[in-house]
Amino acid sequence: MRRMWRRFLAYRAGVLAAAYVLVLVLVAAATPFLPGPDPLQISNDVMQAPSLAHLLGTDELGRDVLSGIVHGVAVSLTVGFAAALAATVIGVVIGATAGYWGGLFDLLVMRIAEVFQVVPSFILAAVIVALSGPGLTRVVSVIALLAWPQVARLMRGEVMRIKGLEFVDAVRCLGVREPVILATEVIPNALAPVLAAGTLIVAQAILLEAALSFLGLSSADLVSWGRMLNSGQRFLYNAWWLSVFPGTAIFLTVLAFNLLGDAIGAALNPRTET
Amino acid sequence: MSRTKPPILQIEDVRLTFRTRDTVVRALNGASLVIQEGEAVGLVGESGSGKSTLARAVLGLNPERSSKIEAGRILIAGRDVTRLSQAEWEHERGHPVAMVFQDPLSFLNPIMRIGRQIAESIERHAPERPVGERVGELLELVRLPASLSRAYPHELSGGMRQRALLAVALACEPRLLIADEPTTALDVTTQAEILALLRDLREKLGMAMLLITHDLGIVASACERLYVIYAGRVVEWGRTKEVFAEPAHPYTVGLFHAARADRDAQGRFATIGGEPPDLGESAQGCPFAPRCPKALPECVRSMPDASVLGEGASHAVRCWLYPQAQDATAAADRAGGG
Amino acid sequence: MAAPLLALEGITHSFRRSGGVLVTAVRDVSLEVGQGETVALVGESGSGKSTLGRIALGLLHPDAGRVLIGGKSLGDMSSRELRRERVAFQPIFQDATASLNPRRTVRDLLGQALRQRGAGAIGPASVELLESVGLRPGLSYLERYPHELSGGQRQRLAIARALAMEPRLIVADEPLSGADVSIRGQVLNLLADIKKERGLSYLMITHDISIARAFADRVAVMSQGQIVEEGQASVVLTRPEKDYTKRLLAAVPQLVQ
Repeated sequence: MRRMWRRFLAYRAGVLAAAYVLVLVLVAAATPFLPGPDPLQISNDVMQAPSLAHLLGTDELGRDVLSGIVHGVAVSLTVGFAAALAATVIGVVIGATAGYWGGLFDLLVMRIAEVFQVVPSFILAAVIVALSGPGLTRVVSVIALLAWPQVARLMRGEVMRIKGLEFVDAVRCLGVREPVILATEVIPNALAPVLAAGTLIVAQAILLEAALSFLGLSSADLVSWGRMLNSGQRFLYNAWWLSVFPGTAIFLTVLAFNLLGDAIGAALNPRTET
Repeated sequence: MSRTKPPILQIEDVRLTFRTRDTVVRALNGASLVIQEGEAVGLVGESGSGKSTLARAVLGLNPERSSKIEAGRILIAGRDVTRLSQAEWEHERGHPVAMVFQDPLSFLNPIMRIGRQIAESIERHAPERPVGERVGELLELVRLPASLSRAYPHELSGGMRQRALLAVALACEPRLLIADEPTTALDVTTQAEILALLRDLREKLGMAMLLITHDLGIVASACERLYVIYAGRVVEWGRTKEVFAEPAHPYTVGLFHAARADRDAQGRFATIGGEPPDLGESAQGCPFAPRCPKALPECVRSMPDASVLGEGASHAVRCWLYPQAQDATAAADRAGGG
Repeated sequence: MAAPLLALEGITHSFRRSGGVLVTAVRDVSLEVGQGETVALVGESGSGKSTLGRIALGLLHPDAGRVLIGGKSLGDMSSRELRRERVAFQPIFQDATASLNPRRTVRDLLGQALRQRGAGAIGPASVELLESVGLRPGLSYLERYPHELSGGQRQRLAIARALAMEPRLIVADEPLSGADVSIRGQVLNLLADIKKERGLSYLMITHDISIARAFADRVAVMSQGQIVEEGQASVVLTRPEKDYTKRLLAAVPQLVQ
């Protein structure tokens, strides 16, 4: 455990990313209690450049950009975490089952996973959301649906490796039932790389949500970075702050989750040298 | 005995430590060893005894960053190589000392044909010969069919891989071959073939050999002299015949019993009690003292100098159970020189 | 005569190698282990001895042939019956590190086995087991993880777990090749003591002739998936009749010059 921490801490970028993510989580949790204007509040101060009154400026309807970005944190994180959690749970269950018992189910699942991985996920997501209508839950479900195959493939590989190890055979000789062996012996030892992949999925989900919102495929009353970018890009030449700040928020957050995923992967890999 | 040539390898009281951020491992605590030209010498020890570290030190193969030779000297054919840097080793390696390892796969390039790997070794060390011809010679020397020149390492069996690695090593025309557990991963019948091959090669090429092993049986069949190493210290050395006839150090005695699966009067299997020591602590006395059935009070305090045993002055032991020689250093030199 | 503890009858088993080539690892092998008997299965790597051991443990299902526990065929049992019966046979593997789940403490590892057997008073029973394999005081080991033990201690722990099931047969696959020479005697003595106290049987799979000779009552020499010679260990391993056994013995480096 201590060595795991040391390996994690050796990743300076990972530590920074973790700190950044922690701040985001706190901001998201505190959003309802934060002072400042409602991000949807229309005012007469339209298209104001960043100033002391509006640190990051205002948009064409006089809405405060800073407030929008702060409120957008909660949306991005909710989508990111919910989608990653759903994808990970689905992927773990399916991947582990397929890897442990193999056979027809394995064959079927892996073919389906391949299909999902071959089809460009963004286009598929856009089509599904466009057809079924916007909404946060829908966006989360679509992203989860697109991301589980990554987890499943990883899990399947790990489970196939671990089920052949001697300690699993030893437990089998104790007369423990196979589903119990899978749940208590195999899966806990296979989770490490999956956890790292899950973190990367958070980043993908945030990016995908932003992209969908950017295309206008999210509900209008939702404050989201992608949506802000969408309305801001029209004024790119006369109101740069409408694009740059939401864009930076997306960039930094996606980068942070990627770095965090890498650091977790390295920390959980006992073969990593410090 | 005339001494016109210096020994091919002379290791004098080497102390070597490994350091990581918060641990120090004293892998070698005063190891001495001498190999004359053409001689076959065994280095016997268990895992963690420092036997491989010693061998690697001879070729500068221990990691430069984390390991350090604190004291002592290593001389190859009279030349001091103790302080050579990694860059200097690059030019040194292969001649006049070459090494083969327990796991040939990790030392053979998986995506290069065997013949090409041997050829590269020739080009690096003896470029004046026509390479193609020499590759054929070397394959024949290690008794591999010439057709295997076009094979990749993974296509070979364990025994064949070891032969291939041997051919790569012999391309350097070494005067000393260090073989680190060359047969441990192999079956007994394949092991017997490799040992026979090593014996023939030595005869044919007049090459000296340092055979590192945990198996006393292998030493008996392949070495003229042997050194026993325990916890980074050489505790006994001598002609194989003498040591086998009368092992002196209690550790050596224990090893023989254990290796033969001997039983005592009660039908118990012979065993050495306790476990190998933790090399982190700096050892004052004999490292074997805590496990030794015959330990004396002084054993814990200090390690004795060598005591010479028998007539020929070739068999010596570092143990308080034996009378100390008058001139211990001279005795050790004589014994070590064999 | 009572049925032998373990009987393997006409076992054949093949693997498909990665290239798709079918390799017959075990070919029509029959072997019996009686109550309280120690049988050594000797052979080189690839002889099929480990495959046979895994079949005896019920970890592999043979393509042909029957595995009988006390006269009852494993193949005829329901999966529940199989789970109940198979615990009479426990494994000890070569690599104790690999045979212990790295995420479980000693307490967990032994508790899992004891609970599986339906034993009460898990704590005291675990301590007793630890002390019976020479890990004393047992209490001091309970909270440790396998990687915090030495190699010899790990092998003892693996033995303790096997004993928790009160087995009648222990299938030991190269139990000593991972251990240093100086530790081997300790493990052999422990196995001998266990046999004396509990009257169980061993099927010892090994490539080491000296161990087979010193430890086994009977020996079966395997080569290329078949048993080539079988008989009393002291006879077969000193005056072998078959050529293969002779060659095998001749290849072992001798400790006398």
